[in-house]
Amino acid sequence: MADDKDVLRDVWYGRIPACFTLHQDEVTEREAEPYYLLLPRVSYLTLVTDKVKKHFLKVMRAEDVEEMWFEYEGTPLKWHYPIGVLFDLHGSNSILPWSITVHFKNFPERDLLHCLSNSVIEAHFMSSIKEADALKHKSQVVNDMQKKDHKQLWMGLQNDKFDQFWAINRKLMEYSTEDGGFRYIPFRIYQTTGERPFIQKLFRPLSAEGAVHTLGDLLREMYPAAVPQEGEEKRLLVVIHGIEPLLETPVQWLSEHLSHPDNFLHICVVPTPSD
Amino acid sequence: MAERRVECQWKRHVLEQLKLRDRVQRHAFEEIVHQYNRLLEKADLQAVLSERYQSDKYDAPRPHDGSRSDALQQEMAQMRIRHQEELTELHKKRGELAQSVIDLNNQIQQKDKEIQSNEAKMLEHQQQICSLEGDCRELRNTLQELERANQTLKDEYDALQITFSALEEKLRKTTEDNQELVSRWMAEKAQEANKLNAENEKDTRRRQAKLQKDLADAAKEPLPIDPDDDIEVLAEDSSKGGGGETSPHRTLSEALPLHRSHSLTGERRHTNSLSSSPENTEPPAGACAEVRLPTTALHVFVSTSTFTHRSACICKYFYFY
Repeated sequence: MADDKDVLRDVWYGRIPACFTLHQDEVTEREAEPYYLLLPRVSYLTLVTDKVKKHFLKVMRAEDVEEMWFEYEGTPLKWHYPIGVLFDLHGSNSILPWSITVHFKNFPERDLLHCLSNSVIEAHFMSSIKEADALKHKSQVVNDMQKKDHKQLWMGLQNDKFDQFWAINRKLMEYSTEDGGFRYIPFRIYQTTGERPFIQKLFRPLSAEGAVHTLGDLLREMYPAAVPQEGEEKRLLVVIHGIEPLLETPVQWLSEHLSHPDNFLHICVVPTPSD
Repeated sequence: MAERRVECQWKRHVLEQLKLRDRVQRHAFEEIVHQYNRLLEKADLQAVLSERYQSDKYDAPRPHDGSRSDALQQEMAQMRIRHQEELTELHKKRGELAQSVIDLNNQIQQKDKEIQSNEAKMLEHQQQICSLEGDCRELRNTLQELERANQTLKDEYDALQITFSALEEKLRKTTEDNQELVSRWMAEKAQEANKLNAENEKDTRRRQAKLQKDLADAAKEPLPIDPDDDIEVLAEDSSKGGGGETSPHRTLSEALPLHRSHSLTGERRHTNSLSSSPENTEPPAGACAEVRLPTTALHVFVSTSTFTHRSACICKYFYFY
């Protein structure tokens, strides 16, 4: 359907305006201008910030430079989450553009993974796709693909080529009509609070009776607090790609259309803005 | 229909929300960010240029304030010329690079062709290797078969050799046995012949003795014989001696008195038997002389036939006897 294709395009071309500023403790030779960038929601921070790095390196001495990392209001930003997730989770209440602080020192070893080259991102991305396909098709689709198909998925993301990516990703979204959906829905529910980074469990797109499971059903099972009770004021927002889908949206459709390129449906549960 | 509207509702909601999101987060900033980055680039370029300009300025001799604008203009003109030069140089460089791109592309094409031909060659060689391997396998199989046949023949030969040597051994033994048997048989026959000869001799001697005795007895008996008669008898005897042997006896029996004829019949048998003896004793004497063993041993099997022939002759002699 044309509408569905539009959704895919909108999801792919989602951007977040960001303002990168160098942390005040970083030693510079002259004043560093902030750097503005539109970040693709579906990509990864370290994949799209080459220009940022180059910009700040111009004003720094080479001996002061270690691995670059990012932070928003004291929270180190995990590059291995998609940018959209990071923004929805940490920055959705901030005024735009999203202001990110750049560091070149004191790498927070406990919070972040090292990312010294794009091959690290590629490995992470491909393992996510494989994990998702294991849930959706018992890995059959991804294992039947050739090496160049895997490469095409990655190159599509890296070079922001929607058609290149979806030519292959289409296969990962297929399912037989008799099943009515994937085996399990690959999803992750993120929250700012709580000791666990995210919730990930097995969840079928259809109930045992064959009824379609909706986003509401998923949340009621995984995160009951996110669904407001009758007459209760809404305290938590359920955000996917910066929007709040209706709770009656089927999870199968969400998984097919609002998943990130890593084939996971990333759902953020954030508190309602207080003002 | 209602369901479809419901479906449309959540889908439309998502679409609208996405559009709204993009309007707020993307479109509002897209142009600003773009322009800001352009400005930043420009500023960077300006900084570089001004730096260079400054250094140029310090190098140049400081002109008087009066001719400042003049000097500035000159400087500007110089800079423009320099930049023009730089530009032409860059253009030239670009041309060169374009040429090299074309060259490299040509090279790539050539290499591709080479690769293709090499691949084809490799394929061909692979096929050749395959076929040669097949041949090799076949030949090896043939060799194996031949070896097997050879082995079989060798085994057969060995078996035959063994049989042959066994048979040869048997033949040798048989020949020995045969020789021994023949020699034993010959010895026995010789003994027998000797014995027979001896017996014959004894018999002859005894008969002769008896005859002599009888003759003597008969001579002793007084007989009424006429001397004529006697002469006649003698004459008759001498005349008829070579023709018939019975005649003397007949005459004797005739001559003998009747009462004696009975007693003489027993004798007659004797004489009868005796009568034949003079004739028969002669050949045995000859046979006895003939009964001799072959003095030479018969070694060769081939000669056995002659031997058997000879022994058959001997046998015939014996039989005759």
